[in-house]
Amino acid sequence: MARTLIRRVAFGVIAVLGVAVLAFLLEFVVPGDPARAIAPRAQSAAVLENIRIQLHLNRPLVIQFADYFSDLFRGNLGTSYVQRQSVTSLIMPRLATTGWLALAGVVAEVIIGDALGILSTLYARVRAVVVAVNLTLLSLPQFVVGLVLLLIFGFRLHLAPVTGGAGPAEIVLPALTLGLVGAPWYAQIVADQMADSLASAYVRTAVAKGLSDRYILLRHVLRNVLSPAITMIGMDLGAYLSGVVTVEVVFGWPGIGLLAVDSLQNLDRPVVMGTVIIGAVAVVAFNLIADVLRMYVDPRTREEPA
Amino acid sequence: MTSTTASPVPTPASSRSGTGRAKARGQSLRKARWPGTLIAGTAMLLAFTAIAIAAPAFGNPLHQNLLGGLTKTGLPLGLSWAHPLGTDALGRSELARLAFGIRTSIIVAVVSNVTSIAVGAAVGLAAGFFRGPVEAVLMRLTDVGLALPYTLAALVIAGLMTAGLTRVIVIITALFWAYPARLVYGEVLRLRHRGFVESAEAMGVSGTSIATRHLAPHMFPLLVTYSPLNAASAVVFEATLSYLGAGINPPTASLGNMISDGQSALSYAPHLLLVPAVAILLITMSFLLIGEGLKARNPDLKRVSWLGR
Amino acid sequence: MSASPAITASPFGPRSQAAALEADSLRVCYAGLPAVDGVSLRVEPGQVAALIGETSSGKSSLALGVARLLPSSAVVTGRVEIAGTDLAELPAREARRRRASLVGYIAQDAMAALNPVIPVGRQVAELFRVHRGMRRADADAQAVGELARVRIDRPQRVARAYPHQLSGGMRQRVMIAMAMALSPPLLIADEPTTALDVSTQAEILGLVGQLQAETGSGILWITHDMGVVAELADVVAVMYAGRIVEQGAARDVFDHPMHPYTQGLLRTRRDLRTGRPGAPLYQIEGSPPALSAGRRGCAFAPRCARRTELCDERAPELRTHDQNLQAGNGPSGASPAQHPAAASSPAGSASAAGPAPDAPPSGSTGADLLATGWLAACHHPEVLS
Repeated sequence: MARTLIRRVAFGVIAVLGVAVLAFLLEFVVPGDPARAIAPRAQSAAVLENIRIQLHLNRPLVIQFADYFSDLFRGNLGTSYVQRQSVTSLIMPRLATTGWLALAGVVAEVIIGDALGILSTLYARVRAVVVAVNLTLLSLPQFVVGLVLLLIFGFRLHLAPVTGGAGPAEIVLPALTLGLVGAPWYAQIVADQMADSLASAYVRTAVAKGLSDRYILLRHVLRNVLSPAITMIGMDLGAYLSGVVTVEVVFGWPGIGLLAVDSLQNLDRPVVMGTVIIGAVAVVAFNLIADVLRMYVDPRTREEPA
Repeated sequence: MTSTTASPVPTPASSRSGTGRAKARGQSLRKARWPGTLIAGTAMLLAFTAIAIAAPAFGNPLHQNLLGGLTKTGLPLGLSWAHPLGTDALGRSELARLAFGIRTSIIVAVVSNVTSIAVGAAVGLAAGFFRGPVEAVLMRLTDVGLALPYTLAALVIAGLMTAGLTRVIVIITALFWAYPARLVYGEVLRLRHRGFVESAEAMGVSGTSIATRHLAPHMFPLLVTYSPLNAASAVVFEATLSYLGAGINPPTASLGNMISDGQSALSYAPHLLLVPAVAILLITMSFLLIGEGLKARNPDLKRVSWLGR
Repeated sequence: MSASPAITASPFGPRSQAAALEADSLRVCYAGLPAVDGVSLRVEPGQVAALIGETSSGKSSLALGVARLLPSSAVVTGRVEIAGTDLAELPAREARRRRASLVGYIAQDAMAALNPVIPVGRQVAELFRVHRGMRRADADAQAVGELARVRIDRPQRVARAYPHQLSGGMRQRVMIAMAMALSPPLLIADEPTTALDVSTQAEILGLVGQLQAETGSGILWITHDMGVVAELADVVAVMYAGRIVEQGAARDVFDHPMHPYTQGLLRTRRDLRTGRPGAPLYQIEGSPPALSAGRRGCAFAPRCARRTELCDERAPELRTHDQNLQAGNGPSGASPAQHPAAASSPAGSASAAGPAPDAPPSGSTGADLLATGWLAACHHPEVLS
């Protein structure tokens, strides 16, 4: 088990480093002059050159690369060109804001998805409805679901704020958007796992042992259903933390995704790279956490597959 | 059963049950070959393809009719006989823009589906076949591809290129190859344990030949089943990119940038959101239905899931 | 033994004690097709009854049908009493509770039959928590005791293990411990040794033999392996296409098989043991029929070397080797004098029919059949339609 974990952590670190290298290379071939973006009204070439020297943009790419990565290994993501403060201090509060939304979104999708999945397993009559709902939600992009919710609950029913922000009232619609878009996956996995588990030989054994339905569902079925759902929760938390860009854009939620979009437009390279790297760390870390949790719930996953 | 009977003459009972079974099997096969989802999905997709091909017949998507196409106060028109789907903020026919938006979506779905799966399959096949360093490098690269924050990475790549179809297809290929790569890699690993690869190796068949002649054909059903899901993801992702201004930019019509245009008119012209939204819904759904139908045809492939939103 | 006095009238005559298992005309149908087609079976306390048949002969459906453990899609009719209790007569909740104390079920694939995410000790302990109302610590301790009882070394350690961490033999021991934990009067073993290697098989067989001697349970042992039967069984029933085609004391069935199918099975085995190296193994041609409704004639006929036209018309009537199996005198009561004649003697078979439980439709039918060469091995034919 320890070996499996070490392997997974090592692969995760490699993946994050790969993302960082890729982000660096991509950022430096993006056309556009950051110096001009910082001082759009500067007329003299000397001013622009001065900015470039300050930001070390005049140095060879290899040196910049080495500088960036030696800083990165010390946990320093650099300084924003535009905001003149450290990237870390810019990203961290945004990460927290996105974190709340990610958490609320995952809670929403687990509740909606599990409800759909359990309903369709237990009641044959609603199965067709659940399938149709799943298919519709699967077919829509996040931003479309978000805008439709905004149209209905914001502009028509005036139940939700339409102005953006990061308060408890503002979180409802974006979280619901994530929940609705994510729900079909949980519904599918819960329905499949329940069906498999209820038809399994170990449930037959439990019935033969004279246990009650309630006991069998809670003690024998639930843990087996939970196990794959945990992996998915981890994947989603990681993916959402890496920036629910479209949802943040639709609802004006000031998270890491909105920061990245703004920084891209401002050619603020260090911030863009910081968000990409932090995003990759989030994806990898939460996948890992999910795997560890899964090992706890499902002992079969503890051993390395042969 | 009858073929192994001691007597060459089948008993009436056995022959009756035999034909009954054959008949039943024939029916279930026919049913399995064309499940309802597959028929519905294919029909929908054909309809959209027809619209995409005939898009110019629905009018000029770029013609700004600032006089006839807007209300007296300058707002977009709602649905009417003259403008079946209304007009947008510039007085352009929403119907014509929708047809061209559908054309964009279908082209992106078809082309990027082929390119991303081709790249992914090549990587997966190579990694699964050439063990050792090649495998290690390719699969770590696949890990990187799967760990990329999709939307952010897409925005970064978008900055490198000028707006248009090519940009969208490049972005989708660059982000969508990793999942089929892992799918194919897993399948190759599974197949390697089967006899035929080993026996081909023992007979001295060259590595490339084993990969292309013996392994690649086995990937085909897997990839055919995966491709509708991949295409559906591509439609959704194109819309997302164009919505964020990182895909196809106005004035060229795309369902995503139509919604982006409609967003500012959400309070007074909701049809500018709903018309393209319904189109995205139906195109994606047609691919998903085809995917479901193919999975129903081949239950072995149920493990293919539509990951990578 | 928790024998219940609620014994109903039975066609098998008087007896002093409730049988461990008594099944009468048990039918199990899936989608209208019978997998078990009217089977009557009796297992005495302390007796090991072996049910032999090929794959898909309906023996597992029979086992699960007896224990009322089939999914609701299966339709079970007929009467089954376990130690005098008919589970079908009890309310569902009551039946579920009672079943665990009446019948222990040992599945073929212990890996699938044990919950993969619960330590095996816990899975045994559950029984004591639910049925004996024990507290967790006591139940866990009792479970360790049960594991020790099935000869598991270091039971404390094994109790904490998950199924996938144990060997196949160990898992099967855990299954046996679970099945026997509440000392049920009937144990159903559904090919419990099939998935195991030969030496582990022998250990499990020895273990079950010892445990049975201690508890006096009746055992219904389902198998396709004649070797298992020879070592363990007191009585044998041979199943084919959902019906029992031959039954009797183990020795009798082995020494004087009457049904061509049983003869075929035994010949296969004899060839394996004593056949000259290089000599072709005997095998029964063909494969068992698929499930079908309203079959006419003998289901084995298409594969039978001695079939006649009549075989397609009429299925043979089951007749036992002696009355031991049904009268409950125990297997030792068998004596050659009571046997029907050997397979080669049609007349003997017909005359020995005697007080068979279900009388054949008419004597003349038998005579007709004899005249047309129907073999005695197929007992009495019965016109079905």
